[in-house]
Amino acid sequence: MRAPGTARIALSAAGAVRAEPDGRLAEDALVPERRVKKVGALPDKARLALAAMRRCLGPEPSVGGDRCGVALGTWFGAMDVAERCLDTVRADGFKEVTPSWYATGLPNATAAIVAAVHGITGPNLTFLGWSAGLEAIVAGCRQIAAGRCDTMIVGGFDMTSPGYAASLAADPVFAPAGAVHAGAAVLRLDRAAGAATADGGEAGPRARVIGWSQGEAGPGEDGSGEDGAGEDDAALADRLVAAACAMAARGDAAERGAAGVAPAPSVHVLTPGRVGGPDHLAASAPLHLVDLLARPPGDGPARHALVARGLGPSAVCLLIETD
Amino acid sequence: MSYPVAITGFGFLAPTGTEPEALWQALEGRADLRGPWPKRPLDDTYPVDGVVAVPEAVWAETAALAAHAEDSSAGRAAGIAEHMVGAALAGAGLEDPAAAAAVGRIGCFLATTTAGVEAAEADRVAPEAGAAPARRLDGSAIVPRRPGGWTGPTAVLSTACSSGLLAPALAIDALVAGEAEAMVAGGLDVLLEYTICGFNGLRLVAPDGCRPFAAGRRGAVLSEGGAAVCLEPLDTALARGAPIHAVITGYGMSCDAGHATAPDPTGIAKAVRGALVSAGAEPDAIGGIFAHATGTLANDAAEIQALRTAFGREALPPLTGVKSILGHAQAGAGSLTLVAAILALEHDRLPPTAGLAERDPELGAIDVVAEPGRRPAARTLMVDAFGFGGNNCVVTIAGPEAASGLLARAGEAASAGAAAGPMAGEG
Repeated sequence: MRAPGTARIALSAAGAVRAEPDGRLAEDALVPERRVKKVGALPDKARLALAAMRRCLGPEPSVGGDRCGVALGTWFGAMDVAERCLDTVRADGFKEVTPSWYATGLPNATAAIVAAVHGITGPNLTFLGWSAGLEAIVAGCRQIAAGRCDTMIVGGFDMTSPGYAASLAADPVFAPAGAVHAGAAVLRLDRAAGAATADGGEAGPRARVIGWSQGEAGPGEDGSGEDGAGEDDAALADRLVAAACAMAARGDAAERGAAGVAPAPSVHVLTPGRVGGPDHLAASAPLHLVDLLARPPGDGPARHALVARGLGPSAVCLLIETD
Repeated sequence: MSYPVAITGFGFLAPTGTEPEALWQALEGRADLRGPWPKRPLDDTYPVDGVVAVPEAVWAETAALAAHAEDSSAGRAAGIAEHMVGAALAGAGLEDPAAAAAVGRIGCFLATTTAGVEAAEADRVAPEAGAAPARRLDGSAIVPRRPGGWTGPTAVLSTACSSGLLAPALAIDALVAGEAEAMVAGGLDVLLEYTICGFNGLRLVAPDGCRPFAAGRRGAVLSEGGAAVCLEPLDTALARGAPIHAVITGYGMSCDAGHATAPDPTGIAKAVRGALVSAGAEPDAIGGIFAHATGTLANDAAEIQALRTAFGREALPPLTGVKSILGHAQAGAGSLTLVAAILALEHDRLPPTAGLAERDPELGAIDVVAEPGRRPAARTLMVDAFGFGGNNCVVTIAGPEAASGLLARAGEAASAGAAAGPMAGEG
């Protein structure tokens, strides 16, 4: 009864927003709207994600309805809300707490706001962790593969409070990156047949997801995984990429009638604090994917495997093919 | 659902502890478990601080919990996860790595709204201890390691109070996609001051107890805990002789795409209808509804309206609201309610709703289970879980005796070519 994944899902559009090198957010990094009728006041992290979505799909995207969903990842989640609520209670008393802080600051509030603004009534998913942005993309693919949606808006976002931006930058995990900055990356996934193209967005990549895999990153020598390395990154990547390639091979066979010899993918291993610049937490891996898609086309199709391992046991691989 | 999935094990931490019989007795006896928050009494900081907490003695007595109970930054959430996941695997006979390996790839989807926030709150409450390291702030770290490692997908979901039911639903997707042969899935949350502050700020906490569907109800009572279920394709679970506690026959999910806190009956109805269509169930096939039933004026009214819309009629199956006893464990609520429904099938009785002295006449004629001993009208039950942000999830489960019939029906559907998209178009 099972139908092992043979997905072919179009990556139809992509857009990204990053903080400036000094950590500031440029004026256009947030959508100008501070309130919308359906939602009320927009938290800045939602304005950031909406700005990435606007770059992905243009100012008036043709998405929405029951056959469209949203899946986003965040690392920071609601920590700023806890910080704000508890600090306010202690400094000024409970009466000074604004009622909307809690509900509009929950980890899933940003995905919910994206859905509300664009009338997207299909599945609405939010994942937690450093690799959650890539996990959200995989979850979006799974929703399309399951036949529940035709389009998924996926990606990652994060914006820490100033206090945490400083303490995280000093944390041994993120110190190699030098800084932890705000960022958001949003991609549009479509059922491959007749997939839409970007309607005014800035990226408009032509690529497709051909496989994915998830699993546990093995623990370190002490069995705890607390050493920051755990299972060797190369071994982990080999394992996850092989599983994703197996899914792709099933798709190749279904599509072309025979598996043939698929090109080996270029493997991009992404880990916290080691992303070649400021860390953007759960947006890091989706930002890397957006950058990859923005590269000039090469000589024919190429395959790339993005492998992300977070601070918990979870690791994820996304296998794409570019034209 | 053309792909029935067996629940082969479950584990939980409820305010009643970790034993199914104690949970069932509390539900049938309409136990009043409310009290002050034992972890850190808040005195008169907030208008209401009455909660349904896991007793400190339970934390101390349960091995997986005790290891985490005293470590304020590592987190009690990790303790709940370790306990409930371990118990679900053990119940399914998959605790032993060799037995698990024989089944195949096993994954784990958990859900929380508070995991990383637990450490962040500790930072605010006791700043002299220094900032929590990033690793402790990471919500995804609640997935416990297991001997041999998770060989299927792992992730941590956060969709507010629908999370605990949505995680098993997404786990089914992973099974359908052939990415695992078994999945452990569920949700959990710990009581935090941040949550107490947030719900008080929204004026959603009832000082006189959670009284779903009652006249003059005033809101929810916050609680904590969580539950996980072990899910396997019904055919392979039967083939290996696994215990079958219940069979998930369908589910639906939707997003209101509206207000952050105000529920939209239209969005909820889509999830209910999706579950019914997915289960191939007529309204008469539902023998009872484990309602989301938070006890707020707006939520209960929206749920009843949505159920009537989805069922296409005024008369609804018997309703019960276990939050009237267990409180609202947020991301743990959906999976704890799922466990309550499993126990109801096992006992062939629907647990009553507490605090129902006078029903809300504004809700019309509804059949709320008020006394213990009521048998379900049919052996398929519906479980609802809705969350802030308009996240909705609804699941239907059938008793284990339905397994062979469901399997035959699934086989016929597969023969008819329905296997390609198990729930295509069901919203």
